[in-house]
Amino acid sequence: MSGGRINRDGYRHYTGALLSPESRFWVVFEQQLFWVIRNRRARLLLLVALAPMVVSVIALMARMGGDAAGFSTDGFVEEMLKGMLIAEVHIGAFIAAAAGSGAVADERRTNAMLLYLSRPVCERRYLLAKGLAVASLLFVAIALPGLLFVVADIMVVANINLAMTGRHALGIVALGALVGTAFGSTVLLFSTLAKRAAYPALAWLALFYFSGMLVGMAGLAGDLDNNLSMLALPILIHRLTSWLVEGVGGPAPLFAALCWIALVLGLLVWRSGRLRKLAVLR
Amino acid sequence: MNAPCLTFTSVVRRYGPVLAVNDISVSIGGGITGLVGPNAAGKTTFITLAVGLKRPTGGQIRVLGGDPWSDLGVKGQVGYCPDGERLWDNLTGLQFVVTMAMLSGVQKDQAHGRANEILVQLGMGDAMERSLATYSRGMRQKVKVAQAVVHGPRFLMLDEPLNGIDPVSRHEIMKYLRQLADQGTAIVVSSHVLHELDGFVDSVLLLHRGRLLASGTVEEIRDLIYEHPHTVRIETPDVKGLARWAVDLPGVMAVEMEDDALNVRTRAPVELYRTLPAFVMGSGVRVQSLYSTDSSLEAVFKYLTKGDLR
Repeated sequence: MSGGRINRDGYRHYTGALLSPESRFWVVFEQQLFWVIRNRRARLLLLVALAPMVVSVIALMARMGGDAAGFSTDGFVEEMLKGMLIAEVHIGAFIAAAAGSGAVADERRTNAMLLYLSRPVCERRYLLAKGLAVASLLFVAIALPGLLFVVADIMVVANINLAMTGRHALGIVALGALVGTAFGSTVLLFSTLAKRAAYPALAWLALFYFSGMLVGMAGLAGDLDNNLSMLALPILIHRLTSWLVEGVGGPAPLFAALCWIALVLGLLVWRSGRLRKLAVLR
Repeated sequence: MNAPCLTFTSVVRRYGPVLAVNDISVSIGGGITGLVGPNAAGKTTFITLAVGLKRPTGGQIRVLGGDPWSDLGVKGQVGYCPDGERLWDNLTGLQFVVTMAMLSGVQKDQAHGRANEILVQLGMGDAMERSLATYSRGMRQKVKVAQAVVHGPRFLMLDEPLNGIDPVSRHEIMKYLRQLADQGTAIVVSSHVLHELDGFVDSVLLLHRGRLLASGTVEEIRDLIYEHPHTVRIETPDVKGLARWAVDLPGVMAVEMEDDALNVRTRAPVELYRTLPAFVMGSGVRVQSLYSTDSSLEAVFKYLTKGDLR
């Protein structure tokens, strides 16, 4: 069977400049983002994510009407912004489930992952590109409504404190980035463990909400000063939002969130080494 | 520069206790090579090893001189068409092929032109802007072939690209692949049906239970098939007349008559196929159909493995 030889005459190999490995990373990113945007459930949830902002802006405008009649807005904007952001984060948990649960699981089920991995794309870049796509979407879903609220705040409230408003904006961007990365990478990690999108979605939502229940059952939920209470994701989000938006509490929730992200990214890198093993199973 | 595109040296691949590829040593050069075997013969494992999706448990694999598992440069020069039909259904055929071209490193502006050109060559010009979700099985196979060749690979591995598609699509895919092979691309095509590859491939590798059972040209493999006893079924209203003719043929071992058909067991089926038309023309006997009941690949494997088929 060694008689044949490569005949290079008339050879049609691509001879143009090759995209760099980084550019191929962005091709995977773009593909995943495109997939999510075409996903009806994810689109619906992105629209739902605007609802808390719309309600908050209407409430703010109504309050300003009352303020003209002598009511104060002190602390009102912070309370409203914090409540709105926590609502956004809860919706974000569902967006993460819709956008990230099938990122790897569906491609394993349909064998489409083989197409990626047979290309000159390394597994780590493949996973990180997908994670970044989901995280970016979550960032937009959480930070955009928050920033729109800040704009409405500037336009509606007279004698606005610009320093405080700037802090709000920075806090919103930081919260969007942290929550987007944490949620996106966790759901993606779960997605590498399953062959159907439903399982990682359910596992993620169970982790998110049952962790709160379990911490509550352990008697830690009532004591918000106890750092162990942050084992409950809703409590961690609550404390993180309070610290970023209102400046209430210490930076412990930030460290907790960063530890969570580091742990999940480490596990993702470990999983990337097993992707080719998973890819061929049918 | 002359070199084999793919070299397996004592390659072994285990899945736990299952030996999917068992000590295969083979070298594949240019042209089209058929990788043939029944289900679970190890064809897909062979291909996934060659494209670097699996690492061999033992032995060494070289594709275009490099290790397909660790050398991303090799992957850029190999095209791969996996088995299975489901793709990214949210994309159009053109978007899908452009994406795959870019993943192989083709620049975006050129990827679009190349994808467009290949899809037109494969007869997908009218359908390329439609969503993949609307594609028939044959169209999906064509798009999968297009994504495998869009970056102009030197070596192409196609896992059952002709499986379950209509004759027109099959013909178009085979014609296109033949053109590519004539232009210098080395191609490996797997199938579990030998006759599917007849007249299309230049050489054949027969796999069975992970072992390389036989290799050679299609003619050599066909001779191998014809060397073992064959049963040919001839459906005719004149069973007795045909039976009298058949028993005198060289190589005939047994003749079994039914109401409207004759089963001829012979060691020389070629002789039967060669002389039957003249007999029919001369005698006026009507023959409604003629086919071999065991010229399938399973029968060949049964013969080669002395009946040791799972």
